[in-house]
Amino acid sequence: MISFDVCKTFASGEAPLRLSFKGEADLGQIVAIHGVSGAGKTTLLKILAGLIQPDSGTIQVEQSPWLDTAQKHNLPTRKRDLGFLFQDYALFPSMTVLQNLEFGMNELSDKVFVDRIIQITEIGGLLPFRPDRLSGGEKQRVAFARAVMRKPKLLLLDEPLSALDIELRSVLQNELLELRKLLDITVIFTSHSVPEVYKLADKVMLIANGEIAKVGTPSEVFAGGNNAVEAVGEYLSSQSIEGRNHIHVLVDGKVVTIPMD
Amino acid sequence: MSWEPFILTFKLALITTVILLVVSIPIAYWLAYTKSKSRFLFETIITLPMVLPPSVLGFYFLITFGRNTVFGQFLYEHFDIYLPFSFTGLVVGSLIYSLPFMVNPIQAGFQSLSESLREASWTLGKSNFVTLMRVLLPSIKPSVYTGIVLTFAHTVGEFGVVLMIGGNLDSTRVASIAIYDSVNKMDYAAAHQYALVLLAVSFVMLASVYLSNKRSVRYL
Repeated sequence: MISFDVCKTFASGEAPLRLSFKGEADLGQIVAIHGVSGAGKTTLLKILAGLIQPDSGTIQVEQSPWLDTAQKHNLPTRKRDLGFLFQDYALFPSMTVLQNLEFGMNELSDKVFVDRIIQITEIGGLLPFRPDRLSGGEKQRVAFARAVMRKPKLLLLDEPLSALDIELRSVLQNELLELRKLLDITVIFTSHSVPEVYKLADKVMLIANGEIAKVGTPSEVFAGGNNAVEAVGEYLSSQSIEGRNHIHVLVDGKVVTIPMD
Repeated sequence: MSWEPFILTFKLALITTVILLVVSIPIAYWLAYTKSKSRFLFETIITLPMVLPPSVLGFYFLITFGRNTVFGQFLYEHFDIYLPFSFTGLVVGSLIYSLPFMVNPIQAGFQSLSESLREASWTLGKSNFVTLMRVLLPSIKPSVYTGIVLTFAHTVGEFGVVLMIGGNLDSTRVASIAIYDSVNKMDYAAAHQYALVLLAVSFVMLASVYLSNKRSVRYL
């Protein structure tokens, strides 16, 4: 179980921006943090990682307290057992792909596991190259592989697929699901794409007005809103529908058949 | 033409550059990443020698370390240290005068990097020191190289501070002072020779900086 209850206030113009996030995730769950741009999704991930210090609160991961401001306890980022995928990938430019991966390894990174990750992310052919030689999708896969090299308990993904085209996004979504099975870790990712949340998440935390306004399965959280329509629209645009009479999509937990003629 | 002034000049430049490289990296790191409100004050103090007339620095150096001051007397009586008109004094003066030439490029290099590089290293379990040595410094090699070359070249070309602090003694006569001395003695041939060597050295060092930066742009 991972639980958090944190507050952070940013001085912003005349009115300070106050964020207050409280939530929990079961081990092995994939949790989506959903919300509009600027809602505080990345801030929440960085608070969990220890990269932004909250004004007050607690973070507990299994039996290990990562943060307890009342007790003045704050585990440094480097001691938190986590992997983090940054929006800009943050690959080290002076290192090759292999060196980037090696930098992320520890005593848990055995050869069989490393080879399996390289195979799943399909980066075997990229190992000798520096990041400047890679495409956006390749960088994303390398950064993903590097983030899981230490077999972390918690994997934090900041808009992991936002910069990719729809086809590549679908491939990487499948990779993420396969990695979750392999590692059995908790994944928390931010996304503003409803179809992505439907496909990947067991649970959604919807951020609005500086707090987690709604929690549940994707169907529960998005039920009845415009998000369902948006989901169908994005799903349709991502599918190859040429020559098909109809397609099936999942809307609010129900299969809906849409004719294509 | 004597080679002694060149040997002294390059010895001074090498010692100054090595010491400043070690000292400037933590200073530049702090300046680049601190959120302290007093940062501007430290930046001003460190950059001051760039705009200060060398004679001002030299004057205050003599005032501070001369035997007529309490501090200078204390150093002399308790540690047998007398900095004015000594090679050690030249080194101390050069360290102060060349500090911004090493700190500023390295600080700019750190500031040009995405914050996520540091953060990524921490999330991979690495300490600040490991992050600095293995992630940040290798990523700003051109900036470090620029700092090294500018510091070395600037120390080689120092005149005003060196003249004020070291005078024109055999033990403190660097190449720039030797040119001045030769001109005073109307020995233009010797002045030409000293000047040509300094010109060539300065040109090669600057060209190497531009060549290195051009390569690194292509590489990045």
